[in-house]
Amino acid sequence: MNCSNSAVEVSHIYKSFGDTRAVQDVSFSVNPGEIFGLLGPNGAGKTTTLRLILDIYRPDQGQVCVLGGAIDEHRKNHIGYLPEERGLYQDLSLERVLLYMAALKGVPKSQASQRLAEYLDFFELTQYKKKKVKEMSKGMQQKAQIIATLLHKPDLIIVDEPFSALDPVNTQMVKSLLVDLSRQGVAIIMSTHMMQQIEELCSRIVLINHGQVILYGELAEIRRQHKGHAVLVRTTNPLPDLSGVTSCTSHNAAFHIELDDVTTPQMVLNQLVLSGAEVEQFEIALPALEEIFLRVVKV
Amino acid sequence: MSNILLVLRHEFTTTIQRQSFVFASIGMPLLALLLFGILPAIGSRSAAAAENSSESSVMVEKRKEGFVDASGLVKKLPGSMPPEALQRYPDEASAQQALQSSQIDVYYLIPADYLKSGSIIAVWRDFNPIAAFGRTQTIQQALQFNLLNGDDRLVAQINNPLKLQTTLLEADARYDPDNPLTFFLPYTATLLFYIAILTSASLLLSSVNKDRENRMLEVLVVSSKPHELLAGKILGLGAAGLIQTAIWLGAAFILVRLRGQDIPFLKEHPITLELLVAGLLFFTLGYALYASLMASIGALVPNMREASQLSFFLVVPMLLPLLLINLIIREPNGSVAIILSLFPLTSPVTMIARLVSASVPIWQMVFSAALLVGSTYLVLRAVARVFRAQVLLSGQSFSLKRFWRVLSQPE
Repeated sequence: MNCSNSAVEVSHIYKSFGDTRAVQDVSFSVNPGEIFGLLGPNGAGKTTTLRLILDIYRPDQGQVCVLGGAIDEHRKNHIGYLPEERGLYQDLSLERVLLYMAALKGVPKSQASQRLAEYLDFFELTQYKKKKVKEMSKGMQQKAQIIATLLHKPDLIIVDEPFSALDPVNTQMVKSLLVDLSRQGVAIIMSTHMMQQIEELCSRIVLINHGQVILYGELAEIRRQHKGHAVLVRTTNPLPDLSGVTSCTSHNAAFHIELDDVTTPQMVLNQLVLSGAEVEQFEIALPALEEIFLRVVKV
Repeated sequence: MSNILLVLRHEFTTTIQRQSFVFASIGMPLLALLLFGILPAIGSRSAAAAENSSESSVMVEKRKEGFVDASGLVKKLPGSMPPEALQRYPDEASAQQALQSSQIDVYYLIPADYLKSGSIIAVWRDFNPIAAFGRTQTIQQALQFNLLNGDDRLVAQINNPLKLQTTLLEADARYDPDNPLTFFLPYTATLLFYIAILTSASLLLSSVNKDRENRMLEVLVVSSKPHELLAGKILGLGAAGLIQTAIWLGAAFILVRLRGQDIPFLKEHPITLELLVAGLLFFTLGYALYASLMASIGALVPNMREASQLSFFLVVPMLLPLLLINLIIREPNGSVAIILSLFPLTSPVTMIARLVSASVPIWQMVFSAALLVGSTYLVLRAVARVFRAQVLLSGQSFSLKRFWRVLSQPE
């Protein structure tokens, strides 16, 4: 198996369940230290792809490299996984469950206890460590599951909807934690439907639909590729009448101007300069990820 | 530490700390000790005391009986009867006077034609139907003694004409078939064994389902190999089951020690070391086989409801020895008992029934244990195919088609 230095390298994988093709010819790579977005509508094949990376499923064709080689038990111990369908032993104490999870990942007890104390403190769960999991709120359980994902200091983190059940404060806390970890060189694959979080955190993405890769690459490049025929303009004085404009909407004190087929952004800029408008901002309007998502998924 | 050991320790400690397990392991034997050991012991002591006191009261009351013999039959009273137990009166008037002056409670009139008619008249100061029954014993004894011309030996023989001694053609049968405990003890042992194996094996089913219900399976299969999970669970829960069985056996041993002195049968046939060792061996093997089968059900079904329905079919073979327990106990070395004690799905329970009922040839025990080991190995190999991440996480309902498909997939 030829594996590069990527944290994850998925090459032309296929997976079927009976007559259903869940994943077809999916390829992408994730670099160390990056937060990589995995997107797709429900039933697109995201979870199957993640399970193929984690060796829960074996691909019918293609290969998966993880942390520089084929996945094995040693490499698995360097992966932190927060599945979409998550849970903890409800009848056990928080501390006991988390230490058991860490032990299964090969962390010595003393080390695990020390790290656990730090994480419990970070997530403000120290006072709940002796409580049974079922006595905790959904948000607290979500934070506990994030701790279980991180406790063994993984080199690759795979998180599926990491912000669900979290309030804005805790969402922000988890986001900063993920950013910190990526800065330390940890590769993170984040699967979520919250496009805003992807735009905020991820530099690269892959979008899967019907088991196939629809979009893959740098997020900025993808947005550029999907730019519409529009410009974003902010002026200090009222906007003059412009020709070649099909619609103009105001948004956050700026104007989003849609152009007709024959009008170029340069022509609009010329009109603004000639009309004497004081231009504060002029840029090609890039679509939001959500817009692109809706556009490509609907096709 | 190996993941098998980690899973083993986790399963073992969480199981033995469960309230239901603690109650079943300690509460039940304590209850049994209380019900069958301590209370009857106290009861028997009280009864003995009561018996002594009632004996003495009977003695007192015996002194208050009298008779008038018109037939001339009663020439003397039995030597074993205290002289004051039955007073002879020459005529009814003196007997009546003794009754009225409370010297006696009752007198009997033995008419002249007694030998012909067999009738006797009892005259009571007041009638007490309950007390009346016991009081005729003394006069009966006196009449019987005199009817047999005062031959004590003959009286004893008529009272107990049958001293049965049973000879069995099967020389190795352990217990007297005329003793009701011959049935009771093997049946109780077999039932307890059935419960012990089933309870422990079911722990595995419920453990796999708990992982599923707690949505832990996906994380667990990423953290350890499914076969490590399976092995850890089987060993951990098996250890818990073994401890429970050992506690039950220990309680049975104490119970026998407590009550064995009162029951000659248990005194003659104590629970032997061989029986304890064989019990633990067949429990372990039976558990391993059934736990593996339960694990496959746990892996193949999406919820506990379906698991319970399916596990019923697994329990049927274990029920067979219980349904045929009469036959097994009556003919512990008969062909049905032998076949059932060799067939792996029925052998753990049947072998215990046979061991408690009779001596079992060593070769049969060894052969039965070897067959159990072999079949457990084969079942475990098949279960390893079923206990895979993809199957565990599928969430599909059980179907035979799917079961065969999973089994036929390469490892």
